[in-house]
Parts: sequence; structure tokens; C-alpha cells
Amino acid sequence: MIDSAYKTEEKEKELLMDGDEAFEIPINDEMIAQFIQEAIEGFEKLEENLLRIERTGFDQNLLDEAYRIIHSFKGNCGFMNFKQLEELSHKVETFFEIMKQGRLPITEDNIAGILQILDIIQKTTLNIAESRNGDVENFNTYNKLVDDLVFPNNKKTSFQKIVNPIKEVVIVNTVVKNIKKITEDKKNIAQKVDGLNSDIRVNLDKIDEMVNLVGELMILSQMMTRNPNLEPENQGKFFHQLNGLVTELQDAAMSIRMIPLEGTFKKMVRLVRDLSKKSKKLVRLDTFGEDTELDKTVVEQISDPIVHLVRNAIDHGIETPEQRLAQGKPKEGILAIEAKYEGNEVWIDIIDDGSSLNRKKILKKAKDMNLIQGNGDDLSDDKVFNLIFEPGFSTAAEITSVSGRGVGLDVVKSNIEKVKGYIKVKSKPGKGSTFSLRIPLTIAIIDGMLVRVGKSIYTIPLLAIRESIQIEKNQISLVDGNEVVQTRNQLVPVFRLHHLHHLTPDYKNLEDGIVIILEYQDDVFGLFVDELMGQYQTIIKGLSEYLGKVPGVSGCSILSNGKLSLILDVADLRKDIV
Amino acid sequence: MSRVKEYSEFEDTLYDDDNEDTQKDKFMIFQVGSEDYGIEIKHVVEIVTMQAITEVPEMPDYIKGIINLRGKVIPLMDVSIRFNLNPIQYNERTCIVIVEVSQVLVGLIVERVSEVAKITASQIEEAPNTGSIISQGFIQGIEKSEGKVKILLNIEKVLYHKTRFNLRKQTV
Repeated sequence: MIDSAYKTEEKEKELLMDGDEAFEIPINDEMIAQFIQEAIEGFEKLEENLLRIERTGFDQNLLDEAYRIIHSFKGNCGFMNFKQLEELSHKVETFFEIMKQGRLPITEDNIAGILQILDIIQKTTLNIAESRNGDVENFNTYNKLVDDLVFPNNKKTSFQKIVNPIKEVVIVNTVVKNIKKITEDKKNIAQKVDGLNSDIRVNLDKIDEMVNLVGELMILSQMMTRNPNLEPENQGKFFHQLNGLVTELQDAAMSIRMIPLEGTFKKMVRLVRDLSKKSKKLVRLDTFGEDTELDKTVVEQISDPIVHLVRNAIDHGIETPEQRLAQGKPKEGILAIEAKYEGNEVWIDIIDDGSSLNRKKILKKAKDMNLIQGNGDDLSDDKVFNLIFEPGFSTAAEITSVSGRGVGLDVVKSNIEKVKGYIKVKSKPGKGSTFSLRIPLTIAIIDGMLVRVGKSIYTIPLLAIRESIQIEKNQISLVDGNEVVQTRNQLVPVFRLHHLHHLTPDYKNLEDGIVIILEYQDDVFGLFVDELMGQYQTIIKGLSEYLGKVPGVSGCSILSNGKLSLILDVADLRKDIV
Repeated sequence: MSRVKEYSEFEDTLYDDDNEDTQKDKFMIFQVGSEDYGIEIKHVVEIVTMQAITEVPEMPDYIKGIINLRGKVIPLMDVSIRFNLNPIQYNERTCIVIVEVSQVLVGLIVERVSEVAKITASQIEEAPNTGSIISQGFIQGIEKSEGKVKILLNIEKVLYHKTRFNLRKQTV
């Protein structure tokens, strides 16, 4: 009854072995990095296919692809001489082969089992960077487990319920434990991959486009060299063309840094599956806009926050099937992740249709933590709900293994702010919650407004500016000793940039210069400067590693005269003065 | 034959330049106030003339601001203020010595750069402690020749000793 496919390959291997012995290739760092990179990409796809099969049933194409991926991984392991990995992946390959032939049913147990094997293979693979060998932790246990999966009829230890119910409990327990451990391990994966490889995979079309543009630029430059004395009317044309080309080239260069959100979203499929199983809830994940592209560094930064929000939604948001039915909702909860372009930003919404945030609970907690004064009745729902992003805030009455222990949403918020984005939550009783992320397309380029104070020229991110106004004397009033201006029926506090940065300005009276009304989330404040110098788009540079973080400044940019201009950090300014 | 020889000579000069050995025991000497100071040549990246400085808020007084050097942002330290000397006036002879410590670039504003001197370990004496901030941390040693004292600086200390700046931990 032992499977013949297994055996023939075993023989094949033995035959190959003799020749292999003499042919040893030294393994270097780069090979290992590439091996790991390739494996990770493969496993992502493999996992995705498995989960789809689990949901939709048998699919020849998906199984074929899974088979191919594990086959080439096995080959790579053999080449790199990772014996245990090779053996495990060989058995996984057999698993897929038998499943393809329809000789192995697609059951929850089978999928869960093989996912567990894949997890350990993946974990071992990632550890290779440090361990330098493909030795699998608890290899024998896993080896047995995969044997049981592939040959269920060989049952010495098996999932079979009737024969050995106690054993099953033990196995399921270890499975749960292992999964827990592996999810913890997975947190480190991103960092490890980062450290290994800061490479980026770029679509050839993007590079072709850039090469084309460079070609055009060369033609233009030759034209100029051949006709050094252009007549004025052609000069205008020339510079117009040059400007257009440079802008296009800039876009093309930036688009190379962009990667789609697809990978991030795909990781959520597995996460949602595991979490809903663990919490005994039924959750359907819908994703939209996977092809939305963001700067690679931004995508890496927002991946953890999204994971956290998804965990939150399943743990706190979506109810158990019984609770849902009792409320007249379908028993399956829906979790949607949507991404779309909006101007120079990408908006990502994480929407659940579970229970809403509890205004009363939040207010009580906020009072206990001294976050609000009074009883908070006058605060709008939005204001109240967004209190949950304050450090140390969590409404979960008890600590669960799924969403952790109250560190979290504030970390999510600060991570999003690191990429100059912001986060908001909306919630309607009984209708669930929506967490909205607003992320700038890239953190490398900024649309800025140049302003001057005395001799200094600053850049203010255009996104933060609501308007710039010239103040009449009668618009100014004093509140608690602070100057406040009335604009659009709103009283806005005004701060002088020359006070904040100790500069010598041209003007000291508000009505002589310009007040720029800045908006950060719900706070509005004015910044007084001498003069507006116009808009421009520029590349953001870090200040200097030596100086560290400078309060109120997020970086600098190079002006057309070669001098540097500080870029104001509106979020940080607000902390100081509001 | 002669052609071959020429070629090999050319190669020698090509390879010799960046050799560790040629940098050994060499110090770049600059003046601030009436004193001569030396820093190990291996830390010196380049020397440029005074540039347009952009001031940065909330910095110690010896940090004058930042400059753009061919697209790189480099902070500037006025050595005279850092050493508690009379602040120097900036003129056309004022130089910025760009130094590199653990991959961090900083520009030192000095009055004048004079020479590159070879000073071997045996010529270096321990510096007397005069109680000044310089002698308490910055000095690697002193060298006396031709009746003039050269103060050899420990550049890492100049950048980080008793500052709020932190030396980056070397990542291996």
C-alpha cells in the first residue's frame, strides 16, 4: 500500500547521490539570501493557493502551481544541501501529488496539517541566515506528522477520531501551541527579510519607460549642444520640453520604488483564517484595491499596523455566530480591507460589521486615565472614539491571546505617523467600525510651500496647509494672552515661526506678514511668517544622523540655489504649541 | 620593453594612493586661534570653502547648521566654540574640514588648513591636563617640533564627548 511515487523518487535520489558527492559548491551569503528570498515568495503563493482550495474545493491549476513551487523549493534545498528541509518538502510534494490525483480528500484537517508543515519549513528557512543549516526543530515530530498526512491509511499515529481520540487532542494541542509560537516567530520575519535583502523586484516595463525618457533627454541635450545660440522663442520651447521630461523622469524613478499592496493583503488571508478558527468566529475577508502601489518602505512600515487592526477587528469587533444571529445579523462576519488612490495619498480602510466601539466604556476609561476633563458628554462621537489611540488605552475587558494587552493602537498610530500618514476611526452602534489610514504615496517626495522668515526659508508640506491669509487688524483678538484670529467663523490660535525657531523676522505685527492656517487631524492653528515664496515639489532629505531628531522639523530639501531649506513637521509643531 | 615598464609604474601610483600604509601616521594640521591642531588623515574626507549655512533650531551653540554638499546634508561644528576659544570670524580663508566617523559625516569649521604632517607614534607625548575642556577629553596627544606644539585630537571625542549626540552603534 505504500505509495509508489515516494519510492521511485527515493531510488532516483540514490542514483543521483553518487555523482553529487564529488560535486560540492561553496555556499556564500548571497546564495543564501537569494534562496531565502525565493522561498518566501514561493511560500506566500503556496499558502494563498492552499487557503483558496480550502474555501472553494478542488482546483487542478492551484494544486499544480503548489506542486511546482514546493518541487523547486525541494530542488533548491538539495542544491544547498539542507537535508532535513529537503526531506520534509519532498513529502509535502508527494502530498500535493496525491491530492492532485484525487486520492487524498481536501479536508480541514489535511489543510491545517500541511499548513503547519509549511510553517515549520518556512521558519527553518528564515533561520538559515543565522543557523547556516537546514536543521528542522523537532524534525522527527514533523516528519511523522507529514507521513500521517500523506499516508493516512498507515495510521500509527493519526488524526482518526474513532481509533484514538485522546491522541488527537494531544496533537491538536501541540498544533495550537506550535501555531501560536509560529505566529510569534512571524513577527520577526519581516525584520529578518529586511536585514537580508533590501532588493526590490521591479516590473521591466517601468525600467523601459525610464530608459526611454533618458533617451529623450539625451536627444534634447544633443540638440542644445548643436544649437548653442537658440533664438528666444525656441528657448521657451526647449525649456518647456526639458521641464516636462524631467517631471516624467522623476515620476518614473519614483514608480520604481513603488510596490503593490497585494503582498500585504495576501498575508491577511492566512491571519484571518487562523484568528477566526481560534476565536471560533466566522469571518469572511474581502479585499479591494490590491494593485494600489505605495513606496516600498511605506508598505513595510504599515504592514504591522494593518495586522494589528485586523486582529482587533476579529477579536473585539466581530461577534460570535450566536451573538450575531441573536442580533439579526448573518452569522458570518465580514471584514473588508480596501485600498484606493486619493490625490497624493493612498487611503486604506479596514471595515468590520461587528459590534461598534462602546462610547460609555471609552469615556469611563478616558476619565480614569485623566485624558478628558468633565464627563465628556459634550464630546462628539468622533472625538471619543479617537481616544483609543492614546498610549495605554484598550477597551478589552480581559486580555486575550489574540489582540494582546493594551499596547497596540498607540503603536499603530505612531507607526502610521512615521510614514507621515494618519489614522482615524469611525463607528456606528451595531454597524461595526471603520479604521481609515491615510498614507502619502511616497515619503521621498513632498509637495511643499516655501515660506520666508527673515533670511531663513522653510518648506511646509502642502497637505497640512488649509489656507494662507493676510490678516486685518480687526480679526485679531487675545484669548488667555495668546493671539487668536477669526477666519471662516473659527477662532484660530496663531504662533510666530520666528519665536519657535529664534529668528529675526522682517515683521512682528500679524497684519504685516502672512498667516498660514495649518490643519493636523482635528487641530487647526496659524503660523506667522514674513512672506510666501510659492509652491514646489522636492525630494526630502534627512537632516543628518549626527544631529538626531530636531523638534518641529522633519527633514530638509535642496532649494534651486543649492541652499538647504528645513521642512516643518506639522504634527510635531502641534504637539509643542496646541 | 620600456612601454611595459611605464605601465607598471603607472599602476603603482594608482594603487599606492589609497593604501592604508600611506595614511598611517599622517595628520592633517589646521589652525584655530593661535594653536595648531591635528586629526588623523583617515578621518578626513575633503576640505571645502565656506558654504551657505542653514540654521537648525534647538542646537548647541557650536552647531552652526547644515550645508548641502553635492546632495549630501552635512552638519557643521564651529571648532572654536566647541573648544571654548574666542569665536573665529568667517572669511574667505575659513575652511570646512569634512570628517567621517562611523559613516557619519560632520563638517568642522576651522580658521585655516596648513599641511599634512607625518607624526609617528614615538613623537607623540601625553598631553598635560590644564583643566580646559580640550585637555580633558579631546586630545590624543601632543607633538613638539621646531618649537611649536601640535595638539592631536581624538576626533570621535570632539564629535561626541559630553554632547547630547550619540555615536551610532556599529552594526555588524
